[in-house]
Amino acid sequence: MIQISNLSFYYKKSAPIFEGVTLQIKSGIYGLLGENGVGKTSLLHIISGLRFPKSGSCNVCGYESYKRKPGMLSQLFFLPEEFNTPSESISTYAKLNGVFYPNFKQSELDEYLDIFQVDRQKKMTQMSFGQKKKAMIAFAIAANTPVLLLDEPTNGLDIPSKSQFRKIISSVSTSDKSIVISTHQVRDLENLIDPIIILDRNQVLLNNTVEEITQKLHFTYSATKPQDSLYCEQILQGYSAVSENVDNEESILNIESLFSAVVLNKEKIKNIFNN
Amino acid sequence: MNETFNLKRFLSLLKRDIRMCSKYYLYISIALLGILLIVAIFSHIIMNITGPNNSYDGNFIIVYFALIAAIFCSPFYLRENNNKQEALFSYILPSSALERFLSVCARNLIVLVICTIILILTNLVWSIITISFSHDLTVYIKIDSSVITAILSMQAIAILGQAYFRKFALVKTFGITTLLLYLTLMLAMGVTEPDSYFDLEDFIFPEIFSQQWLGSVHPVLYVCGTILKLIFPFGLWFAAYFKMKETEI
Amino acid sequence: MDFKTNKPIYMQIVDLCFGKILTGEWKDDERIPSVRELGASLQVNPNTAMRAFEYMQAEDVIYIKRGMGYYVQKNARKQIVKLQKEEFFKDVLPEAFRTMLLLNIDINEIVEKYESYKNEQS
Repeated sequence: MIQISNLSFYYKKSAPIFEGVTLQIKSGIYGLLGENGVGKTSLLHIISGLRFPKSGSCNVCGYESYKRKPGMLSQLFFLPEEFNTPSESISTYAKLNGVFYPNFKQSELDEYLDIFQVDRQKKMTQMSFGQKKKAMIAFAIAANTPVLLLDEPTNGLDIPSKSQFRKIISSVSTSDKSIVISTHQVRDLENLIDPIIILDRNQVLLNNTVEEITQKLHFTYSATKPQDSLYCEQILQGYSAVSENVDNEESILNIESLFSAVVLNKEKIKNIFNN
Repeated sequence: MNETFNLKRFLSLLKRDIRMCSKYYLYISIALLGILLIVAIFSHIIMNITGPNNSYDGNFIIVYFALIAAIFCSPFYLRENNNKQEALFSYILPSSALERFLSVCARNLIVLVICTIILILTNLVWSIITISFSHDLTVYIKIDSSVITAILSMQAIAILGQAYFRKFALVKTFGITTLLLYLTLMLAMGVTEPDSYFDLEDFIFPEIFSQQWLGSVHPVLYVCGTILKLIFPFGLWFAAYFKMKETEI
Repeated sequence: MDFKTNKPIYMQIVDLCFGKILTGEWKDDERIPSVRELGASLQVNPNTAMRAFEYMQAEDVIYIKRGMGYYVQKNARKQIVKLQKEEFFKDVLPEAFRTMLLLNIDINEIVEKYESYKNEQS
């Protein structure tokens, strides 16, 4: 649904964010990971037509994103990490803005607002940050757009709300929806995000499903320090490590370890996954 | 669905945008009414002191300034660009660039409508109240095609300015416009009537827009003037539309 | 020695469902939650939940009724016990045997302890 080809982008020519990046995003719940400042938010901005590629293309549902055609925008919703809400209630906001999204369902919005325990009639400017965020998350999901981009959605949410968020996302994910969640809080979204995209300065380090990752990489917890690991970290119970899965063993993905392993072994990871 | 213009979508957009601006319209109405009230009372007092046959126009300059300020400054307050985080939701709203632009124009036209209505109402009220008085408190504004063009052009300049500049848009637009206008006036006056002088009134409603003045000088200038009158606001609107189309957040 | 956290998420879901069937929470020929419902309640990716259901269907523990959903297979309990027995023999026992060899524990010691455990439980 989202096809990025040879994308180059920068704010200052001397510090490019993307250089010839090619990436495809199909249906599913994608986790977009990357170090600070690597361009996760910029990528989401480019996909939603908020910023224009300097060269290359970004194609969303058949439209070039920079053209910002209503046909594309009605199939996309982007919720930024921080935002100012207008001084009206989520009820009013939904009445005024829901009409732009053909699949927006008021009943679903009501359901999510109830789950999140957000007061429908309260002015959003009078809500706490967490409540505001939940209100807008509810709207974003109820818009039922084929493409949903969320930038750090769990940031600011309390523990029960994070759990509710996971449940709702899990229940709305279908084969015709692309949900992209950009996050640093991987523990909040463990077991939910699949595939995983890891972004780096100037390149995409990883864009694979959890199945593919656990086929090629082996995640272990052991009492002794393993030799020949791509990444190894000492934890309370021993050592958590990531290594090449030469024996085709099954293991559970540890996203934080995966991230470190990928970032520390860029070339090797590329070789492992492109063969 | 038509990508460039869809009436239903446009009306939904208008509804949403005007709703977002409603507070501003309220404030501006109250501010203008307040100014008119103060000016009227002040004029009333002054005229009582100076005598019934002395007409005092001085204070109406304040009213003209207030109206012009309202018309020129409104586009800068009615836009969402002020804050990146507010603007984002407007940028991703499914509407075409044309619809967005027309919405901007509509929101600003409402300011014109508000100014007109307030002016008419207050004039009506004063004319009723001051029947017993011997002096006249109504605010006179000559409405003809050149004045309308001037007002629309001024607003169009402001619309272009708010689309073009991100920070300090009001100050930058005002500065550049004043500079250009001054230079143009100097040029025009110097070329055509080197011996004349111009006062404050000319600066606000420049005579070079006036058909009669232009006609009196040279028929070519008259034609130029007419063309300019038609092109000027439209040209600015086109420029603003295209600038809005390619603005990133 | 590896810690027992090697089971993929979908297998952990399978174990959870087996548990529910064994305890009788999910009865034979009764409808169980849909893939989406279960996935949401466990807060996992729907594909993972789907994998779990596909596995259980392949092992004849559940069956699908077109348009109605998933149901517990008759004799699912028997099948689950069989599968978990296989797993015990394949994964748990070798671990125990490895430890026994290392610590030089005789099989008769195990039999003794098992008999006394059984007596305690009754």
